Order: sequence, then structure tokens, then C-alpha cells
Amino acid sequence: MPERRILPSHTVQVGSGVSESARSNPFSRMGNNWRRLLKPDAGRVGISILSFFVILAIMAPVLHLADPYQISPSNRLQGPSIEHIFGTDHYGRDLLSRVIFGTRSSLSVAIAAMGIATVVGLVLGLTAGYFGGIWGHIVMRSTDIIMAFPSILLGMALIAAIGPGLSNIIIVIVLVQLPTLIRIVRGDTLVVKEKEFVEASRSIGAPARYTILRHVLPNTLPSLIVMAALGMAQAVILESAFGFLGLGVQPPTPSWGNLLSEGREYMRVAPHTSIVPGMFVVVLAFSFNLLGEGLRNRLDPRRRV
Amino acid sequence: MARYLLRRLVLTIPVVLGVSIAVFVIMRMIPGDPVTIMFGDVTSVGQAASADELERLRDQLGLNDPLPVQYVKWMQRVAAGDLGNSLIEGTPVSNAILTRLPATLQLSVGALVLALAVSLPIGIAAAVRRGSVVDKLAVGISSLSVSVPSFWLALIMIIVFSVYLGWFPTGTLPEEGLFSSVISLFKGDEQPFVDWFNHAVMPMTALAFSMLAPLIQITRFSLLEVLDADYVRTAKAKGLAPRTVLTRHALRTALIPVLTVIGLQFAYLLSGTVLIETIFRWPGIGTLGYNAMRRQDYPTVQGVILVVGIMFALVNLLVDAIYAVLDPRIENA
Repeated sequence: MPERRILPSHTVQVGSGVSESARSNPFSRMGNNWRRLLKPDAGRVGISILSFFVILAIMAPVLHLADPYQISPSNRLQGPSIEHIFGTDHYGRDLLSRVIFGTRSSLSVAIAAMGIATVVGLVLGLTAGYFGGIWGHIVMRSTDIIMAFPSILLGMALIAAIGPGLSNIIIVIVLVQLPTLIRIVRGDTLVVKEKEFVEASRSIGAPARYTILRHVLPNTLPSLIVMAALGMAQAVILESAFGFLGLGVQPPTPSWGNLLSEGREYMRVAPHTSIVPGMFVVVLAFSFNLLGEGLRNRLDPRRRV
Repeated sequence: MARYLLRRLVLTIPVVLGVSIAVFVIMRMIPGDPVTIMFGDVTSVGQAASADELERLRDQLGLNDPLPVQYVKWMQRVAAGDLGNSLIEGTPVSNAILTRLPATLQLSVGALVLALAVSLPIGIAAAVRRGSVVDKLAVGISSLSVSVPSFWLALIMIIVFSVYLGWFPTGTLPEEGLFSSVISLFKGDEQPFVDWFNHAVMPMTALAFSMLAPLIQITRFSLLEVLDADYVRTAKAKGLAPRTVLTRHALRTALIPVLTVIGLQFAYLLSGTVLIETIFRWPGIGTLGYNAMRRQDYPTVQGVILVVGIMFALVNLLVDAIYAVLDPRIENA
């Protein structure tokens, strides 16, 4: 089986440590795994739906949609028709167009938040697990504290302090998602740290940074990637929840959350204004979950449910 | 076991302290202090107070003390049960929380019971008949449960069951809560309970739905593990009925991890109640916190978050205690 290295191979040869870690490195099987990922299964379906959303978000301005900001009082709260497939909102704006433009806010909030959370979680989890001691305690007790707050309440308080808006909602979602990611990386680090190849690397005097990056990190990535994909689903839902409470992306810029918030006011007379944005949230969250499950089956068979 | 519980209790203390420090710091980060919020814009009621006057009030309220001093003073008051007064109503925050806590507990405990009643049978059936239709159904329900936002489910239920079908009222807790309606139930009057159920069924279902996935998955997973264990094989080998093996031997062990997940779910539950309570105008602490935040009533927000955070730490401590009672192996750990 040909080996494909994801991480740059270092020039220093670390004797038996390298071959040991290469054998235990799940990424050496990645070539094969990506091929299997393309077979029809949960992961593939998830990726297909996701690609559709990403393309939709990128292409939104050139799709010849109605102007998402064009107010049309005579057309307000109309049900779905040929002219307005998803109907119109309380200002007569085209809902299809607003939902598609909302994809941009919602998707970018989720991607930015999970991207930051994954990197920070990786660094904190690796160092807390590898070095342990006081630093490990500080990191783990901090995750306990964050986890003791219900995420919506924590978000509400933080938004009260730093104000609503796109970048602040990203900060809140990062904070909410961090504990899980830190814990999963730390857990894997604790297990890998005891393995012979890590011991070998340490015993020949390789610096800690080298041992962590070359031997520990690759073995923590599979679970982290799975958790990040599943976390994306939660991030999408969190964005919609905060938007729904009026704490997220502020109108008139559409996001699925604030569309739901606006739709709620007209739930009785125009239920489509609540149903449509919610359907988008469900489908996107569902596809991230499918992707997560698909990745779990490929990368992390031990934790397969 | 006593040593284990003591150790857990000691580990809970830094979390509770950390929670209080975090709440304190977040609340001090809010732009504009209470004095500005209360008296900064009073043009509608009269002449604005002078800057000196406002400064004297800040001194009175201790807002000019160094932050650590303010924190210690605040914690002293909190320890005595004083969470400060609402900036809007002027009444003690602790009273507001105490009067609203029962409504939230009814909703969250009801949702938990409902979620367990649905997810335990499904999880057990999925593990016993691995790969069967029930197992696939379990996977399907789990995926839906993690993908559908609870507040959206609540909106859809209102549209379908209240607006179109008119089966259930759209919200709020009736005068007689769960406790008193159950008492009437025993006295032979079922009307209050029916009334309570009609009001609570939609918010409870919306809350319970998002808890199904973790509960089903942990039940199925831990039962699958136990079913492969030697002692279960021994029980089968000595000729016990499959049902007896399951109930007397396998489930006893398998349900212990489920307990831990229930403890963790409690936080999600309290998070969900904020959204669900505001949708159904449920008079719980979620609505209290949300409305307080909208009106910049920060002592109330601070009190709600602190109480919820401490409640969560205590619930997990309780779960660990039950865990230790149920699982004798803990003693040696």
C-alpha cells in the first residue's frame, strides 16, 4: 500500500520511532480511505449536499435571483408562487433569494467558528495531554467551567458584553464548541503518549515539539476531524438559535437565524416564513452529520456507533 | 465510596468558583455600568443628575472598588442568598428566580422523562436486534434529532397542532402546575392535569426531541458492549430465558453509563429551555434571563446564569453519587 504523507516529512531520521509511528499513523491509510469515501454512503451523500450549499452560497450573486433587499409592500407575506417559489416576507422581499443569501452568513459563521475552534482545541488538547501538570489542570478545569454553562445562556451573556454581530457570534460558537474538541484531543494524546514509539522518540532526545508534531498529532487527527464535522452541524444550529433570539447576524443582512426570528412574528398568517429557513438549517445540519458519520466509519473505526 | 464522593465534591468546588468568576467577569465587560443604565438617560422623567451625583452613587454601590474587592463582596452576598436587585423592578433577583424555577423544572424534568421513555426502549431494541429494522430506525431518529433545532420543531408544532388543528394551546403554564394538578388527580379531579398536559406537551416534546440521539446512542452502545461480556454468556449458557438475561444481568450494568449522559444532558436541557420557554411564553428562568437581557437588567441575567451553572455542577455531583451507589467497582477506582 503506497504511503501518502499529509505532514511534511522531516529530514531528521529518528530511527525505529519513525517506522513505528508510520505503522500506527492512521493517515498512511488515507489514500485508500478517500477512495472508499467516494462510494455511495452517508459520507458521500453528506459531501454532495454540502457542495451544493457551498456552490449556492458562492454563486448567489450571479444566479439571477430577485434582490434580497428589494422591498415590495404590495407583495408582503405572499405564499409560494411561480414568481416567488418560497413566497415573500413581511416586507415583500423574495424569500428564496433571502434564504440563499442567508446561506452565505450561516455557512461562513459555521466554517469560521469551527475552523478556529478546531485549531485552538488541537493546540490546547495536545499540550494539556502531553505535558499534563498544572497546565493540564488549568485547561481541563476551564473546559469544566465552560461546560457548566448552558450554551445559549453563555452566549446571551457574552453577546450582552461584546454586542451582537457576525464576528461576535463566531467567538461565542468557538467558546461553546471548544471544550468537546479539547477533551477529545487530550484523551487521544494521553493514550498515544504511552505508546512505545513516543517513548522511543523521547528517549533518543527528540525535542517535545518534534515528538508532538510528528508522532502524537497525526494520531489525534482522526477523532478530531470527525468531531469537527459533527460540530459543524451544531454550529449551524447554534447560529440559527442565536439569530432567532436576535443575537446573531443583524438584519437586514439575511442569515437563517434572523430569517427565522422575523418569520416567527408572522407564523400564524404566513407559516412559510418560518418553515423555509428552518428546512435549510435542518438539511445543512443533517449533511454535516452524515459527513461526520461517514468520516467516523473511515477514520475512527473504534468509536463507530 | 465516601472517599470517592469527597474527592468529587472537592473537584466541584473549583468549577463552582470558576463559574462565579466567569459570570462576574462577563458582567463587568458589559459596556455601561448599572448607574449609567439606571440614570444615564432620564430625559423623559426629568432633569439629568450631575456627573458628581452619579459618581457618589457609584461609590455607594461599591462600583469604584477594585475588581477583586467587588468580586469578594459580591460572593459574600451570594453566599448569603442575596443576588442583588433587578434594575427594572427593584425586587430581589433571588425571589424572581425562586418563583420561576418550578416552571422550568416541570418542563425540563418532564422533557427528560419523555426522552427516556422513548429512547431507552429504542436503544435497547436496537442493541438486542443489531442490524434489524429497529436498529435502522434508531439511527434514523438519532440523525434527525441532532439535525432539527428544537426551537424550529416548536414553531412547526405550533403551526400544525395549534394554528391548523387547534389541538393544543400555544403556551404558557396554567395556574395549576404539575404538582397541584397531580394532587387534584389523586382527589379524583383530572381536569387540572389534562389542562397542564395540554399546555406542556408541545414544549416538552420539542425539548425531548434533541435529547433522543445521545440517549439512544449511549443505551445501544453500552448494551452492545455488555451483551458480549463473559458473565452474560454464562447466564445464557446456564439456560436463563433471554428476557431474564437482559433484565436481570445485562441492563443492570448497561444502564449505568446512560446515567452519566443524563447528567450531561441536563446542561443542554437548560440551554434548550431558554429558546423553548420564550417561544411558549413559559414562565421559567429561561424567559426571565432572556427578558432581563433584552432590558439590560444585568443583575437578573447574572443571577440566572450563576444559579443555572451551580445547578449543573450539583446535578453532575448527584449523578456521580448515584453512580457510586449503583456500581461497586467505583470504590476501588
